[in-house]
Formats: sequence, structure tokens, C-alpha cells
Amino acid sequence: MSVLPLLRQFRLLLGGRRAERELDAEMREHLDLLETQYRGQGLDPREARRRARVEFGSREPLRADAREARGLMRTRELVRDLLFGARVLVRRPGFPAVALLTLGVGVGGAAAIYGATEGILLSPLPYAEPGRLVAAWQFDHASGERQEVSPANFLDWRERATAFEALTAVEPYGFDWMSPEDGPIALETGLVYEGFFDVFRAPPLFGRTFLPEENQPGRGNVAILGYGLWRSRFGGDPDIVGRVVTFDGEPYTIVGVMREDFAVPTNEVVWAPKVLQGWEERSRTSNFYAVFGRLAPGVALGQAAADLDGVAAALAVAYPTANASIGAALIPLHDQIVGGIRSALWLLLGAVILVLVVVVASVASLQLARAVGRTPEFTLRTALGAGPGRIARHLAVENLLLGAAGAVVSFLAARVMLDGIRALAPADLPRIAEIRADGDVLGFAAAVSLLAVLATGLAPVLLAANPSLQRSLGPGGRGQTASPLLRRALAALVVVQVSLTFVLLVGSGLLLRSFVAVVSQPTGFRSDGVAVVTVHTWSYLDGGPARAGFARDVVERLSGMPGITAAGVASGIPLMEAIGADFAPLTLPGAPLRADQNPPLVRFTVVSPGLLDTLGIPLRSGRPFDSRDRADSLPVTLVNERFVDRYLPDREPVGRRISLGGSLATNGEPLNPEIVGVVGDVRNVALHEAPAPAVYLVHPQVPTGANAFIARGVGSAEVVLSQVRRAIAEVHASIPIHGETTMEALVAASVRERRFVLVLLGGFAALALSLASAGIFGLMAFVAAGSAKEYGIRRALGAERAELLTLVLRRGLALAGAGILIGVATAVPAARLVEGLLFEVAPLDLPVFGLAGLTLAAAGAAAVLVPALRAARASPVEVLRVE
Amino acid sequence: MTPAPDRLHGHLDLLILSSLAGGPMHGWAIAQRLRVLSESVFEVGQGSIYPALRRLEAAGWIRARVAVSEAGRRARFYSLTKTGRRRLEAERADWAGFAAAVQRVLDGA
Repeated sequence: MSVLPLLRQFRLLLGGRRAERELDAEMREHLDLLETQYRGQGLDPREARRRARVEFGSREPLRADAREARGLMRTRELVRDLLFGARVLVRRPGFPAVALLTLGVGVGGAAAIYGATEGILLSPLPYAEPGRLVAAWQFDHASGERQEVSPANFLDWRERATAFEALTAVEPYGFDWMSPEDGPIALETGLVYEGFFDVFRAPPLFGRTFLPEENQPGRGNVAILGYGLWRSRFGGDPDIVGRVVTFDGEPYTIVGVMREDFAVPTNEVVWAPKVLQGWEERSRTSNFYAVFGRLAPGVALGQAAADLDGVAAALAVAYPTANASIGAALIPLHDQIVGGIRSALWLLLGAVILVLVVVVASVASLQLARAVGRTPEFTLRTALGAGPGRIARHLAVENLLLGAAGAVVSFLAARVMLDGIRALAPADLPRIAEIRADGDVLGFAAAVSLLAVLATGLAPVLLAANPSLQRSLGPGGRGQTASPLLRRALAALVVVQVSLTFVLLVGSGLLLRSFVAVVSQPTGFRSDGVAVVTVHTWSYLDGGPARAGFARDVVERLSGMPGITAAGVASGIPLMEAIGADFAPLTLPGAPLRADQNPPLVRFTVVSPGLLDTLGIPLRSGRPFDSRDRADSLPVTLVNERFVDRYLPDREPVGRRISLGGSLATNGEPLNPEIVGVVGDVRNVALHEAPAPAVYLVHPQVPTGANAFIARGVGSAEVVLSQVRRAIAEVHASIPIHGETTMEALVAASVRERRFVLVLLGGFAALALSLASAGIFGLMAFVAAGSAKEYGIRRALGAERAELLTLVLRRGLALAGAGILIGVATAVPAARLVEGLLFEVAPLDLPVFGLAGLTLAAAGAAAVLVPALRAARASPVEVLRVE
Repeated sequence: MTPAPDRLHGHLDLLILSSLAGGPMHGWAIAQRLRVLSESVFEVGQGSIYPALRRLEAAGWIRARVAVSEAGRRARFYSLTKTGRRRLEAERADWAGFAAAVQRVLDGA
């Protein structure tokens, strides 16, 4: 049946009563006319009416006929059932309200997590045949680390590897651009090799992708905008294609805009063709390319990895100085993108399942209790002639209604919670933009709600259809004692709830302790009110003295500003991504390396004398940097305590010299600074990573183009930020700001993922706890109500009130205890699964397990208290009177 | 010829639709028209056209509009819809084929 006739039927159905009135009027009219006609023929009025009636026929069957003709009987019966069901639900709103609340929070929360994890973990990448997409890395067998690829190695890989349809690379870069709103800024840029967009088979939203010849010198002044950047910085202008924009002081023509879901590495970037520089063809020691490839048809990941390994091995033989320990690693692109958060999301998905079971158990016990409570109603209706089929149908319709309402409520709840998840999620959560409350989430919420309600509604239907079951489950006649079978069924549901809640509590407890342990780690620096603004001066200032002068001038100007209490500059900031070179090979005079040994890499930071004060990094011994340390004076360094422990454990460090190579060497000569002091350790990489050996160098002695200006003031971090920006602009009007943040934001960002998982899991645990408590309360109240007679008799036989109180309490706590025991048995293996997410907490942490048990026991006792008190108040007289 | 409702059954739709082909009519007029044109052969249970009208309305072949009749009374006037017109043509063709077949059988006998 097509839609239109259905609609018409529906309209007629809604207007059913009116239609009936109209039909009556129309038939009466017809009869009148007939009657008038017969009277006109000379018949007396009574005869005329009789003849008219005879001729017209009986009206009642006609009416039924007309209704039947409208094909409405069945539909109307369904509507009547629906209305009846709705009335039953509304008349006693307690049950549906609790059921809907349970479904909304439980299923809604689960659907939201499902939506988030499905979007990130399970749904394929938005590219054609995404299974063939890989990321290729260099793998350093010496350090066991994977690293970006050097230009010359990439060129050789691309030429020699046969397992790929195509290999392409992107060089991370930053175009300087004059933003109309924010002045000079640096845009995240990807300089891409030929075929970059073809590897992903990603069509543009507007315009085109790059042509092969645009990777040639002199042809590369074209650019493609990422969707996010296009929207945020270029106003989403649909006519942007063809516009000329100035990047790095040169005109670039925008030739295309990519779609929203093309995000390599994000969609907030601009892509331009990579024009190969002469030196890059020979460069194997600096590695900074991100390499992507599409496997040739029919080639498995393992084959391709072997192929690339072979190529890398040949290169290791050909270029032993640079490549001796360099192999290759292939990672499916999806794995690379989802990366670190995978295990956390699987954990949440697991928690979703537990919560769903708890929710279903709740709804099931509600349904059971309600069905038993309605036994008299069913009995009455059976007596009045309703067949078991009819009652079962009513119940089915009721459940259908409830399930549909649950689907709507849980979808709406899921939408709200997804917004919350998005707000709470770490900013760098992969594929966050793809998370939506879409059809999948709706389908999940609808399916789970309907299934939960219908499946648990089955028991009452069976109960209604089967009188013998009714007798064995139902209250035993006047005594109203709940049957043992029913009690056992309800008790089993409660035990399931308690045990799964225990598992969730243990999980949250472990994560909470880890979180507290992480955030209470001493960072080694002050973060309150500290603002950070980064600037790169390489392409604006030539030579060390100019760069050092710029940094000095900005710091001086900043220090003179009102309200600024400390200011400095550094080439790197704790917990922030590197903004410049930050590792150098270290050699210690008097400790020569063996021939097959690589020198250890040590973190270095170039700072202005005031920086350590600004960050509150304490001096342990020796002297700090000061005005004595000029460009032409003896090079000096400060080392941290960890450095001393590792490399100079039993010597006086101050006064010794160390030797730093790599980017700190000039003309092949390493930098040989003298240690003048020892400073406190700082957590540079992450709060949960122990500080590593680090050295500090002083600004005029090591000119660097990477500048992070740091200041602390009496105003808020935002005020200080604007002061730092002004100081920079006053010293150099056109130098672009690369980024800005506060130390507090960096600290918060570093624990955001951990907090995200903790809050979600904690929310689940709290939900499960309340459902389990409600379950215990409901069951004990139900049993206690059913056992009123028993308590009364016990009282009559001499039981004290206290005895009755403990009797009921004991029963309730026995349930909680059984649940906790099963919970312990489940949580022990489950806790081991989350070990990777823990910090300084063992998976079988006794306090966490103990506290989870205590919490549940307390919740159980609280839930059982009211029914227990009610039992204790049972009056023997009343029971006897009822009898 | 005995006027029998059974005979009418199945053809009433066609008769009503064809009555309305000339323009909107109310139920009474349709009944009168059927009676007059069939020379009283169809003069049975005039009321039975009302269920038929409801059925045709539900099927979307006719639609009803309330208007004032010639006699000055408010009445439901029925008219053909576009699909009703097509339906009428189909039923007419059907009937013609059926009648011709019956005729051929009778002639052959």
C-alpha cells in the first residue's frame, strides 16, 4: 500500500466519530426525501414512512458496512489497544516513569558511548578502500623507536618498493600568513608529494587537487585548503577557488578546498605542492616526512612490510653511516589514527555492555514485580471474558508503547550526552568531528530500548497467558506471600546487578586512583598564571645575533610592563609539543663510547636567564644563568638532578664540561659548555612520565629561532597573554605568532584523556550503583510487603522488633554479599585488562576492591533499611485481624 | 426480472462512478438516477449506496464536499477524482469485455 491511501485511511479514522454522524445525517436525509415522495403520491404519513424504511433497508448493518467499507475495523481495534495501553501506563505512572528514566540514562548513555566509540574505532576511514591505506615509518633498531622518514630514504623507498600502488609523503610546514583578524600567524601546512590526494582517493569539495607538474620548481605556487581552515579562516567562501593568497610573502593561488572528512593530518591545514630542494635528495640524517601509501591490489600488509624491509636493508648496506640501524615499519592507517586511545575506548565499550546488562536487569525486575502486582487485574479481566490471547495482546501493546517511548527518550538522552562527550573529549581525540548522534546511535538506542522492554515484558505476557504459572508465581491467595519462585528470580536479577556494579566500581576506582596519582605528581614547575606565546624567527631574522637580540628585546620590554612579575624565553616548554630542536647527542669527557655505541640523546632547552625563575624551577647547587653569560663568554650549562644521577653519579658536577653535538655543533665542532649549576627535575613529556636527564643552555650563547616567550603577572593568564603579544609586536611588527597557551592549559590538556575516560566510567559506575540500590530496595520492599503476614505471626509468637529488623537486614545484605562475591571473581580478571591505563596502582589494589565492596554493602544496607523498619513495625494484632 | 441485490453486487461501484462522470451529485440523486435509468431494476435498498460511497471515498476514487442541494438542504456532493476517472474507464472496459463474453455464450447456445 502506498502512503497516500494510508494517510487517507488515517484521516478517516481520526475523523471516525464525525464520519459516523455525517453518515447518519445523510441517511436520515435520504429517508426524509423518500418519505416526502411517498406522501406526495398520496400515502398517509405512517405508510409513507414504512415504505421509505423498507425501500432504504435497515440502517444499522449499513453503518457497520460503511465502517467495514472504510477498512477501519482492524486499525481501530489496534488504536483501541494502544489507547488502552497508554491509559494503563499513564494511570499508574510510577512504573513507566522509572522504566523510562532507567532506559533514558542507561541506554542513552550506552548509545552515546557507542556513538563515540563506533565513530572512532569501528567505522572505516572515509576514504575509498581504506583497508589498503598504510602509514610508513622508519624504524630505528638501535633505539627501538619508529621515526619520521628522511627525504632521501623516502625517494628510494618510492622508487624501489613494488608492493604499493603509490607511496607519497607530506612535509610538515608552517605558512606565514597575515590574518585579517589576528595579524601575522603561522598556518599548519602540509607540503605534499605528487599523488598525495590520489593515494587517499579523496576528491575535493571545490576545485581540483594538484597536478603532477605543480611539484616542479617554479610551478608550486598553488594551495588547497582543508575544510576546517576554509571555514575558520576564510569564511567558508564558496568562490575561494582562483583567489590569490599571500603565504610566506609569496602569492599562492587557491585551486581547491577538500571535503570535511579529509583530515591528513587534520582538516585545519593548508596543503601546497612539495618542491624538492637539492639538498633533500641526499639527506638521510634529518627525518621529518610523514609517509603514506596505498597497497597494490591483492597485496597483504605482511608482504608489503617485507618488501619495504628489503628496500630498507639494501639502503642500510649502501649508506651505513646514516642508515645502519634503520629499517621500516608499516602501520594500517586506521590503527595509526586511532592510536593511543584505542584501549580506553574498548574499556568504555566493555563498560557499556555491563551497564546495559544492569539496565535490562532493572527493567526486568520492574516488569516482573509489576506483572505479579497486576495478577488480580488479569484474573478479573479473565472472569469478565477476556481470553488469554487478548490480555497477552494488551500487554504486548503496552510494552511496545513503553519500548517506543524508551527509544525516543534514550535517543534524546544520547544526543545530550554525546554533546557532553564532545565537550569533555581531549581536543586531539582522533576523528572527533565524525562523532554525531546519527542514524547509528538512533538505531542503537531504539533497538536496545525496544529489545530490553519487549524481552523483559515477555515474562508478564507468559504469566498472563498461563494461569498455572500465575498461580505458582503470584501471591498465594489472601496471605499475600510472594511465591518462592518469584523471589528467587528477582533475587537473581539483583545479584547480577550488584556484581556488575562491583566490577564498574572497581574499574572507576582504579582509574580514579591513577588520575589522582598522575595529577599529584610534582611537575617541577609553576603553572599558575603563566602565559606562553611561541614565535619562529628563522625566516625573519638572519643570523644568531639578530635572533638573540630579538629574544632579549622582547623579554626586556615584557619585564618592564606593568603587572608582569617574571618573564623569559625558552626553545621548548614542558608538556608542549617541540617547537624546535630539543635533543642532542651527549658525550662526557673521560667516558669514551665503544665503537658500536651511539651517544645517548639528551634533552636540551635554550633559555634566557630569567626563565627558570618564571617557571619556578629551583636551583639545587651552583649558580643560575646571569648577565655574565654573554655570547662571547665561556659556554655554560645547567643540568637537572636526573642528569647528575645518570651521568655523574659520584662526582661533583659543577665545574665539569660536557660535549653536545647534533644541531648544537658548529662546523662539526660540538658545543662544550661547563656545568655551572644543578636545577630541579621537570616533567617535560607528560605528567605520568618520570623526568629524564636534561640540560639548559643560555640564550645569547646558543642562538635559536624557536622562541616561547613566557611571562607571569599579577593579572590573569589571559591579560598576561595579551601583554606578551603586545611586547612581540612592539619589537617586530610583522613577525607571526605561531601559537599561544597557558601553562595551566598545558597541564590540563596532558590529563584530559585520562579525565575523559575516568568521568565516563565513573558516570557508568554511579548509574549502575543507583540501579543496583534501587533493585535491592525494590526487591526487599516487595518481599517485605509480601511477608507482612509472616512478620506478624513471628511477632505474635514472641519475636522482638530488633529480631525482625535484623532478619530483613540480613536477607538484604546476603543479596549484596552474594553480588559482591561474584563481582570480586569477575573484577579480578577484568582489572588486569585495564592494567595499561593505570598509573602507580596495581590492578588488584586492595583499597579499591575494599572500598567498592563497602560502598555496595552500604548502599545495600541503606536500600534495605526502610523495608526492614517497616517489617519491624509489623503488628501481630493487625495480621490476626486480617486473617 | 427479479430485482436482486446479489446481481448488483460488484457492479454498484461501476454504476456509481459512471453516474458521477457527468458531474457532482448527492447520494439521493445517485440513487434516483440508478432507479430511473435502470427502469427500476436496481430499485433495492437505496441505502446500500452509502457504504459503497464510503468505500469509494476511502479508496480515493471519489471525494465529498458539503454544499446546499436544489431542495435547499445541506448535502454531501460526491464527485470523481482523477484516479476515480481512470478507475471508471478500467471498470467500463472490464464490464464491456465481460458483457460481450456473456453475450457470445448466450448467442452460441
